[in-house]
Amino acid sequence: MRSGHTFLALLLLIGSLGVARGEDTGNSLASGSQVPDVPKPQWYTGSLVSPSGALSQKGVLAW
Amino acid sequence: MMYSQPTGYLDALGNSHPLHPRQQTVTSFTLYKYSILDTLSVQTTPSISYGWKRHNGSTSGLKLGDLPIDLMWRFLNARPERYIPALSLFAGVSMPTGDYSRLGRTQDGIGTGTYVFRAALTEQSTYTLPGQHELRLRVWGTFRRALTTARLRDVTSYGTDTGFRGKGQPGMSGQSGFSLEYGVNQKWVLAMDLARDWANGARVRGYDGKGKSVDFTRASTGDWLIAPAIEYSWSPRFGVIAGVSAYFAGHNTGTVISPQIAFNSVF
Repeated sequence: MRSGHTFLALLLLIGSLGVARGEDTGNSLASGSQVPDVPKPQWYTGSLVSPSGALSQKGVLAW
Repeated sequence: MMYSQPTGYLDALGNSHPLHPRQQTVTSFTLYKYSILDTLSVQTTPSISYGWKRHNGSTSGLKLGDLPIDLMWRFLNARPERYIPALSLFAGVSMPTGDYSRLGRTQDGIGTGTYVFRAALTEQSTYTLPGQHELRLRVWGTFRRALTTARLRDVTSYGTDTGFRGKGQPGMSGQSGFSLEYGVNQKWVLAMDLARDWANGARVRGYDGKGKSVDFTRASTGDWLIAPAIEYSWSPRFGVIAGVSAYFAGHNTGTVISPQIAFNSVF
C-alpha cells in the first residue's frame, strides 16, 4: 500500500509538471495539442485502464 | 469485451507458481457517460460476465456485476497558453447488484454485497512531438472503501461454505497509474497503460456449519499491470481500441492476461 502511495505521488508530480499542455477530455476541437495553428485535432478512443477510458479493469472492484 | 485468464500465481513474496485449473472469464463492460454540464458528467459501467474453469463447471449463466455510478467534475480546465493541464475528480458508489451470498455455484460469486465508495483524481495533458505527432498523458489515482457490511450465508464470494452465517466486508483498495497515447496520425493511436493495484484483504466474521466461530482477514494483494493497445477512430465520434492487459509483478494475486476490444462512440 505504501509503495502504491509513493507511486501515485510520483505520477501526480510528473503529471502536473508545467511543461504539459492541458486539454479537454474528449475529441472536441479542444483536443489534441490545442495549438491554434494545428488544423487536425487528434482523435482518441481512450486507453484500456484509465478511469475515463474505454474499459474497466478487474470488473466489480475497479473503475 | 474482455477475456481474462490467470497464467500463474504470485505468492506473498512475489514468486511465481503455476496455477491449475485456471478461472477463465469473459466480461462485457458498457461505459455510459452523460454530460450534465461542460465540466460535470455522470457515468455508470454495468458489466455482464460468464466464467468457467476446467473440470470445475461454470457460472450458472450470464452474471450481472456490481453497478458503479460516478460523478466526474473537471475542476481545473485546461489553459494551454499557461500550460495548465485538465484535472478532474470522480466520486461515486458501487451498488451491490452482483450475486455474493447463498450461491448455487462458487463461480457465481462476482459481487461484494456492499455499497462501495469510489473516488479518483485524474490529470490529462498533451504534448506535440516532432513531426506533429500528438502525445496524450493521463495520470490517475483511485480509492475504494466499503460503506456497508454484507450479510453472508452459505457459499459466498468471500469463500465461505455451506452452513456459514455471518458478515463480510472487502478491504480498502485503489489503483494509481498513467497512460500514454501516441498519435501516429489523426486516426491511428498507439496506447499504453501502466498501473499499480493494491487491496487490503476482506474481513469475514461469523459461524461455520458446525457452529464454530470464524473471524479472519484475507491477505492483502498487489499487482503491477501493463496494457498496450491500438486505437482507430474513423471520426471524432466513433472509434475502436484493441489491446491486452497483463500483470507482470505483484503478490498474492494471479498473473492475469486479458485481451480486450472496445467500441467508443459520442452522441
